[in-house]
Amino acid sequence: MSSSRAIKPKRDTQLSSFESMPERAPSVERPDAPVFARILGMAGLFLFVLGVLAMLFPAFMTDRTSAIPPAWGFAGGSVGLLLILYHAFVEPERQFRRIYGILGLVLMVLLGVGLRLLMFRSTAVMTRPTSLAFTNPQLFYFFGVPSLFFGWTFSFAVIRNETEQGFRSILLNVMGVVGAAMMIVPLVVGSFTSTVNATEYLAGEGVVSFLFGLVYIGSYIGLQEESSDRAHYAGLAMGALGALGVVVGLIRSFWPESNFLVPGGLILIGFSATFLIVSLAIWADWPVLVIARRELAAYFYSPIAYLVLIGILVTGWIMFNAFVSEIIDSGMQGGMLEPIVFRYIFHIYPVIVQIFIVPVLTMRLLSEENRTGTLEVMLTAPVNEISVVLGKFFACWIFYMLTWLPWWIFLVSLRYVGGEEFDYRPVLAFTISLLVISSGLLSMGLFFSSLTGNQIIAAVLTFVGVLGHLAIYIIKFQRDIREGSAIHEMLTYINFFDLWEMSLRGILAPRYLVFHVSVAVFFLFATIKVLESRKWK
Amino acid sequence: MIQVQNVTKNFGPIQALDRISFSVGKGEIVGFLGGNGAGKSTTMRILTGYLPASSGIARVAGYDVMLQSTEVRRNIGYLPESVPLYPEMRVDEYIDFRAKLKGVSRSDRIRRVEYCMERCRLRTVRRRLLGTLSKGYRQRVGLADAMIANPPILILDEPTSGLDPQQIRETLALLKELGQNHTILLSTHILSEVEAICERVIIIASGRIALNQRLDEIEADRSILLEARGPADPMLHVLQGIKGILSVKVRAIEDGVAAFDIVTANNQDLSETISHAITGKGWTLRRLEFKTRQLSDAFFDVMRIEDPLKYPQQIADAAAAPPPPPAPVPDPNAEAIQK
Repeated sequence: MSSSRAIKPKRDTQLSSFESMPERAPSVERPDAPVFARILGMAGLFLFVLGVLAMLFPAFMTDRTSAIPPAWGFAGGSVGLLLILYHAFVEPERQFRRIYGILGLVLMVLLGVGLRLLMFRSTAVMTRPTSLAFTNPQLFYFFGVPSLFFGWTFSFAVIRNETEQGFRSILLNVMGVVGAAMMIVPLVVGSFTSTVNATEYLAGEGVVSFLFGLVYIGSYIGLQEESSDRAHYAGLAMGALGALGVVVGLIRSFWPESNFLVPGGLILIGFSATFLIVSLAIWADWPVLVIARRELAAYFYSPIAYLVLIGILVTGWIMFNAFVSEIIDSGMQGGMLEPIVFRYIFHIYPVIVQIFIVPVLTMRLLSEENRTGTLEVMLTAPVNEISVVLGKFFACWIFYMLTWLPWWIFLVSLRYVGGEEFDYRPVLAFTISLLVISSGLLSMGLFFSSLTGNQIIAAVLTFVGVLGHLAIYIIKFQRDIREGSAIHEMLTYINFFDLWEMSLRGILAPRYLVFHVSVAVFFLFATIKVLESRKWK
Repeated sequence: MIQVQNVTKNFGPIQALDRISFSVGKGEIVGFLGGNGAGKSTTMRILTGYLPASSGIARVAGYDVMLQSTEVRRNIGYLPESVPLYPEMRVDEYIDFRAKLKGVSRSDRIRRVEYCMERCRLRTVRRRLLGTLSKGYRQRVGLADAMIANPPILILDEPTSGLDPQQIRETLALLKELGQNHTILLSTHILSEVEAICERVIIIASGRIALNQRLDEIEADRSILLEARGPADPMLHVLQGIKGILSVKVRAIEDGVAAFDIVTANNQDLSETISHAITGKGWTLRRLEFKTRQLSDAFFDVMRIEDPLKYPQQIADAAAAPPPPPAPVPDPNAEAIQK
């Protein structure tokens, strides 16, 4: 009668009859052929060829006028090139990858490096037709530099999609070697030639070479596999080069009776320091840097980065256009007074852009983590609150400074296309003041973002905070606040527009920076305490 | 490895944990059970140092969770209940990111990432965006993250929720294997999982430890179920007279059939003696069963006692024995998330 089951107690385990099965993908992946991109690519090729023909037409057919003006040809060709590039970035098919990969190699090595090497031969060779004659340096500047750029973009696009190890490593290694050369050559020239030669080289081709070297080596490292040895050592080597450059630059600049510092020394030290910082950001696995890298990448994963960059680009373009026509107008009336860059930047539009950009960049940083609960995951890893806050702050800061890059590139084009020298030093002062001001504004945004799980609230609070600066600046113009009075002086210290104005006039007094730095320190400290407050509130 | 002494946690007026104490030894796999909002997740958050205890001491791997939080976090892998992830990252990127944060050295990193992705069966989705993963895959990513740095202690909040049946088994097998040289504290709502892999079970109810026992001890607790037709009182008398029977409880009397729960000394099987005694008196035996006490029995016994609204009688029974029944507690997890 008694149950037999009861006598032998059965220990039910789900694992008794368990055998592991091979892992299966949750769903079948059917890669789509990028039909749309191919159509765009084809249209791009058509436009490009047409554009190039239209540009070449006047050179060969001097007696007739082209149906398409060369300027339109240039515009069409550029758009065509962009479309082709888009296709190269999304195309997974092998044949296309090969074509684009070989195109990238040709552009990088034959045109880029080859034309630069040609500069060592003295005279121009092309004579017919006469309107197409270039000297060797011109060849390099007009064709070599763009080739280096497009060679990089095409190779980058191909390597991203390349699945075959062999071809991939050929492209990558070429990129690495060319990049290393472009990093080392300006360092060597800047270090070991006479001051005059070094300065001339660094201020001209050196900057271009450094920039390309940074881009090439950056992508060389970034395209290596995660945590690979090669990327690590390449990063270390870059850091060593940077350190060397900084040391040499400092020694040469501060050697008795040296006049190397401006601008050669600054360029050498600036770029070397950039190498050092980038290298540090690549190989160092300190939590601050790991978090900063992730946050910076997160900007580019979301549409925010692109919206902000496009917005800035458009504003910059409008400002630059107005600026150029102002220069042309004043040129007829006897020229413009230095510092002319003041007219470029100090205007209501950039100010409005600042008021919007700061909240947009900072609102997400901590409130998103609060809302989704990722903060819990983050803070249960062996990472302290200081690293989290500083990592996010640095990422935001770097991105903010990046948004100013288009403005400087416009200025560079003014120098080279306009062919007229102007005083660039206010730009340096302005950049430094920007670094300081933005540290204050962004840390305020970060603080508001840490208070709430709602991005909108964080954005509105930050918006009001930045608007407060504008309000202070406007209050200064009230009739009963006389210039020179204590209140006027005080208000000058606590808004950023006055600092903009002063730095753009070339004045950079540390006492005006103190307020912004202390604001940054205060808000960063407060943010850390807000994160810690879950432990004692 | 884990010691909890008199830990109390209040969220404002709500007492989520009330002086709980337990410890987990090295290499143990302990199941943490309890109803919704009983305080499981809160306990785990305290152990990971994310939330502080209102009072009491918790030590993990010999470090105080409040004072030596970093060392504690270096020694644990934590899988939170809802597995929050960054939706914009890819699976392998995320695991690599977590490995860097947890200080896995560069030489080990590739190997560890591959190993964890293989064990959590993530290799086929390695390039997917985390935001596009289903619940089960998110859970696997969370588990891979918890074990990436090979920490000696794993604290897993419902590691199998949302997984498919095959994957539940894979995960349990993995945990059992890890349990050979790791200490694991896992919470779950599925009792059979606990029976499958845990050595010990801690049941928490309304913020108190209601049961803390080895699984084989629970299963060693046996009782004899007897149903016989006849008058209840004389039968009770006869049963109490049998040598070796510790206690007899009348379960129910229906239509002249009486049911008894009989506990014997040393859990010996007295079925035959009882059968003899009952039939000898001319009563008819309907059912006689020597029962093993299952985990579910223990769990529901606890729940019954701990739910004062539904079973007021039980409270009266248990009133003498500590702990006294507490007031019902609203979900502290919801509160904690809001904070």
